Amino acid sequence: MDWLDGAVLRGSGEDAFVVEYGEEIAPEIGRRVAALADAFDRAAPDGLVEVVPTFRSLLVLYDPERTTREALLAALPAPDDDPSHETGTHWTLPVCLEGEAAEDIAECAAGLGISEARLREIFLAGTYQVGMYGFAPGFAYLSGVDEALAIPRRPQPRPPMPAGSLILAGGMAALTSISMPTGWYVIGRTAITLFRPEAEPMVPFAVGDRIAFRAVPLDELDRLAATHDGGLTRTTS
Amino acid sequence: MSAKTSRLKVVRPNHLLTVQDAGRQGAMRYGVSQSGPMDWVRFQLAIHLATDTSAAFEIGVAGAAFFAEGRVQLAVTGPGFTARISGGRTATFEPPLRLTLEEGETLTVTPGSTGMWAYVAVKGIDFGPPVLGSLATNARTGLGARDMGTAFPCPAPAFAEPALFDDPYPTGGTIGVLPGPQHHMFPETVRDRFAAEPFTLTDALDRMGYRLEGPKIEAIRHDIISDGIVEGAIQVPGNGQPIVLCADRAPTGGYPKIAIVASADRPRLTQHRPGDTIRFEWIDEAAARDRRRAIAERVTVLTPRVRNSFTSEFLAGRNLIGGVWPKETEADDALGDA
Repeated sequence: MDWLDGAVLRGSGEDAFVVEYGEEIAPEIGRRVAALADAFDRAAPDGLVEVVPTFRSLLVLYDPERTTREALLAALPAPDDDPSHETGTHWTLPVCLEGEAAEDIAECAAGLGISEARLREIFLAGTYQVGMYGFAPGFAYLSGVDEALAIPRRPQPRPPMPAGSLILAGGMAALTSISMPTGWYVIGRTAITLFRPEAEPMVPFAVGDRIAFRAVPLDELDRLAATHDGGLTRTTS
Repeated sequence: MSAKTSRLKVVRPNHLLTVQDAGRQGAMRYGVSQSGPMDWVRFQLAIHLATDTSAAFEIGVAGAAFFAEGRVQLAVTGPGFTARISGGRTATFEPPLRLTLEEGETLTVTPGSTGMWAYVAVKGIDFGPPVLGSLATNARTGLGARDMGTAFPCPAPAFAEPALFDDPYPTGGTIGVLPGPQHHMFPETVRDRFAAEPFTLTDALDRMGYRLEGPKIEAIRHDIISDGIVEGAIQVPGNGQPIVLCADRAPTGGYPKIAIVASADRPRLTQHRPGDTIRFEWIDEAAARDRRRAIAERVTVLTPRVRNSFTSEFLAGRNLIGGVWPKETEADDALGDA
């Protein structure tokens, strides 16, 4: 299989292009995007400026004085088609889904027509994939939300929530890195710091990584807030 | 050589005054905006004229003033802006220019009736350590922001002759655009209308983006699963009114992008003011690159402005600050005055 099988190349100006694997969120699409981003990282072809992976596509920025779209694609290593060679790390992240950490959980459950307990149960049963960063440094969008939790965005934004919040809307979840008003529902809070400009890498997760959540009570969250990584652990399989 | 290092102090910082370099690379994938100048041509011109620096002050329509603690060489660029020296000599000039401020003098950069962004690049200025490899300030997230009230050290061993230059950037004309990643979501008649009818800049504009007003530009859908956004991308939300995304844009977004403004034509767009009217023109990638190359070359082959472009205001100013301008320029002036 070629990198471009089933993909569409889209224009994005004189010094960028987009490799689009689909127009929706799906695990297979996300896997291909992460693999292509990884291939560009490893090949590091001359003239490549940077790549931006998203749920469904890879934006490739380059210097047109030094290379071409064709040369960049030709520099990629052959794709590894074995699906068992899944890229990405598996993590477990503590989250508090109650009290002041989950301000909107009752409203969200009511909107979904399920109980709060059922919402927690469905959410904690899932595994989520980091689909992309965007909006703000370290702001991580997650796919893998169960259809039973697909709630539309609010018609009006709610007041700002703390950084580290777990928010839900539009069939996605997100971990917030800044405090801001949002049209999403705040259903929990983590103690993780999602952006450290001085660290290498500057974010804890790579696009394509998978996250399972472990529920903790509010006092445990406060304790974890004092730690460096908010209780994040690499999952051993 | 004086033992004391010269410093330059911002007199009254304002929120439109930031430090910018060419922008932040490699971290868009982590949600970090590129930032960088709103007008790369005038920015590069300022850097080129000042020498020995990779970053400059970007000045908005609030203007800016700088106080020299010691001798400082700097360059000022920006269409429609004026640069005034006071506190020692007194003179007013029209950028682009390179000059040397003496101890105790103040440079005031003021917008005129046109233009949005000006640059002051200072030879040898130390803006402190870079953040993620860049000195650029993101006005939206605050990344890279620094205390603008500080006196920035400007160690520089030598100074070039002061001089006035012609602005190398052509004014007027249509704004070239290339197809954006959701070009296919806009019917052909809509794409034609996008280039055929004028748009007006609204007053909703900043370093993140410029909202336009004009014919309704309808896509088959106005929400997409977010993808990456380059500088100059034109996204169209559900109201059909385009937004041009600029230096401090978020690196991803969920509205369809009909077009990307050619880099050569971005300054022409961003230097427009609210109420101004612009027109787009579809061009191809080769034409966009040719335009960019031509302008980039013009920035590096500048010669000082010729005598007959001096205004009477300049001549009056030059007389007051006698000695600042090079002798050969004065000779030319005398010749031209005859």
